[in-house]
Amino acid sequence: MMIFKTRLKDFATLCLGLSALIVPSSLAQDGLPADQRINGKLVWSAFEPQREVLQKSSAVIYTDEGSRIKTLYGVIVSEDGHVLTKASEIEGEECLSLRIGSKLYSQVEKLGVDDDWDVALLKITPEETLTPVQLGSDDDVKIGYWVVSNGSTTRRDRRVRVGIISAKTREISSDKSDVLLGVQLGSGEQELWKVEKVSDDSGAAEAGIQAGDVLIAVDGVKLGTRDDLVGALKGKQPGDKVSVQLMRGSEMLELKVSLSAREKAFTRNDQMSGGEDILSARRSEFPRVIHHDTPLSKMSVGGPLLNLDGVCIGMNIARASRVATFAIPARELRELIGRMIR
Amino acid sequence: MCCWHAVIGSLLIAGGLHAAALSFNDKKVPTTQADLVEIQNALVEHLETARAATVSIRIGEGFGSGVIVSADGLILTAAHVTGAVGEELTVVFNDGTEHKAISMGLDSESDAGMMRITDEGEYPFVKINRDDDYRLGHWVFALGHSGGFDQERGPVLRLGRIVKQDSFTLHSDCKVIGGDSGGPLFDMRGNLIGIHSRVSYSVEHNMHVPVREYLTHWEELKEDKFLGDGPFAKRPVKGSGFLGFASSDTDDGLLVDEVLEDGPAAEAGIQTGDIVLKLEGEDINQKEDLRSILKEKASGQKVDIVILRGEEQIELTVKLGEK
Repeated sequence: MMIFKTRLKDFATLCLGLSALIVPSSLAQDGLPADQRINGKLVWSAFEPQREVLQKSSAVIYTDEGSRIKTLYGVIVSEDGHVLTKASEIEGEECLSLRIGSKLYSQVEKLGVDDDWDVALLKITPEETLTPVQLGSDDDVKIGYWVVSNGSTTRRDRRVRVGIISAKTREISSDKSDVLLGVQLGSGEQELWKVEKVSDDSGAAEAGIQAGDVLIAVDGVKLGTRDDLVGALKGKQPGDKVSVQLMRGSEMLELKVSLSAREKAFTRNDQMSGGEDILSARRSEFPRVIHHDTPLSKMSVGGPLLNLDGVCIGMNIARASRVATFAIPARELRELIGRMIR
Repeated sequence: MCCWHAVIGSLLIAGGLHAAALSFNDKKVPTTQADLVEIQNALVEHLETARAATVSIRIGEGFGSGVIVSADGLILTAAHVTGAVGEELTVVFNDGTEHKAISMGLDSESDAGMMRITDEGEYPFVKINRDDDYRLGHWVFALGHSGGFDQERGPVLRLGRIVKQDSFTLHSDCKVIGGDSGGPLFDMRGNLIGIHSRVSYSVEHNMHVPVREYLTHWEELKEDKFLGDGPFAKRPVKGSGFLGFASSDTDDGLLVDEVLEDGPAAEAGIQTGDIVLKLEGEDINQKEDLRSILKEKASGQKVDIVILRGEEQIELTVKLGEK
């Protein structure tokens, strides 16, 4: 544990695997004025054309009776009032209302839910024709391109939050296996499967695995890359036994190891990301997502992801960490809309 | 028309050597779509080179990032990633290729760290900003292997501005997180200006080591010097290292009587009955010889040892444990 002197102000080191003290910031507000920062008010003014798209084509969703506390946002996908939003955040909510522009709609129907994408389809009856988003394509998504999302809101006006596309569009599977053997493995190509240490009271310790052993296979799955171990343990529960083949010196052994539960302790990165108040509860297991760096929260996802042309390239579906927000790509949104609006 | 050419010509000369003027850095904030497109274009122009040189670093159970700054594999990273001089690390490229590397000098006060790939090769690299012209409000971009290496994802890009500079530290609103440590911060010409170090709770507060810190201590870092007294790395304490075996002086030389189970010597493969011939190249005849060399060594350091086992001379390396 490293303790940091106050003259360096308070911070957390970024290296995973090293423990550090995380304390609240006490930085003075000097330096670049807040309104000039990348998500400062003055920078937002440059995104007025995109804000106007959000004004017409995004919805604010409330789950409280007074329609005052926003729960999240939604995407308007038809002229006669179909709205998509994040299903898990409104699950079981009786009192749905939504706002488009400054108009409040209290009669909101939930037409359906898609569990794979965590998307819910809502329906209102608008008095006038609405403006649905203009959906783009995968070609519009390029790393480094500006993206615009719903930020905060008043009863009248939608505001923006901005960022850029950060990484490759891809599947987000569940983070890690829920079980472990109880060994610390080596680093470097030669040492990938060499046991450096056996955790006390673990299944590995009980089975007799020792430091210096080299793991060969788990349940017949040969260990090549790190992913092979994750694959071998996938779907297993704490207490399940796996057969571990290893080399001890020149001797080949096979031991039965009882798997232990991985502590669902809060990871340090989750702490650095603001924890359960900020991160979406469902933030993994999406078939394909766009990854951008816009600093949203679990209460500002659900709305459209726009590019500089005001085209909707996706729907924000999860605040995943301090550095990542995920959005469902427009291509899959089209398919979802087609399926859900029969 | 000719007078316009003259005016434009003199403006270009007055502007200095840089071909592309980054006009958005002179503006308080972007105001038009054209400004936003200019920022986007500058970012995209340098992205491929910057991503290729941003590597993931594996050290023990920990992860960090680094950036290659020379064709033969010199890497800048954070002191708290390498932790010490002479540490063996693994460098992972975006296509999953791995190479062995070794840590060089570090500055434990600023968090500057240096390392190099030990496998011979030609590696993608970025240029360091040596003009020291990065200023408050300048647009910058960050890359890093947030949360650890992910081949499907690649290194993660973030955009922001320099929000503060003070001694040893450059602050930006590019959000960074665990795993990004040691990764690069660039100006909008694609030149390296900082290395990620730490954060506070607020997403606005991200701290980087300015590249001027590396340039100031360049020779010392290359010469494997440990600078400063923390907090980003612990200075090795001389005499704190131990081998992990009991020995006695005999007529045949220094005999290993007992090897501590799971200790440093055991890990290295030293056995009871071995005769210690050399330590760090020095002849060993008795226990006192061992002591005088170990006095200068710290825990975590590696020492070369030559032992006699029967008729065979064996060379081993022991990583000293903590007393």
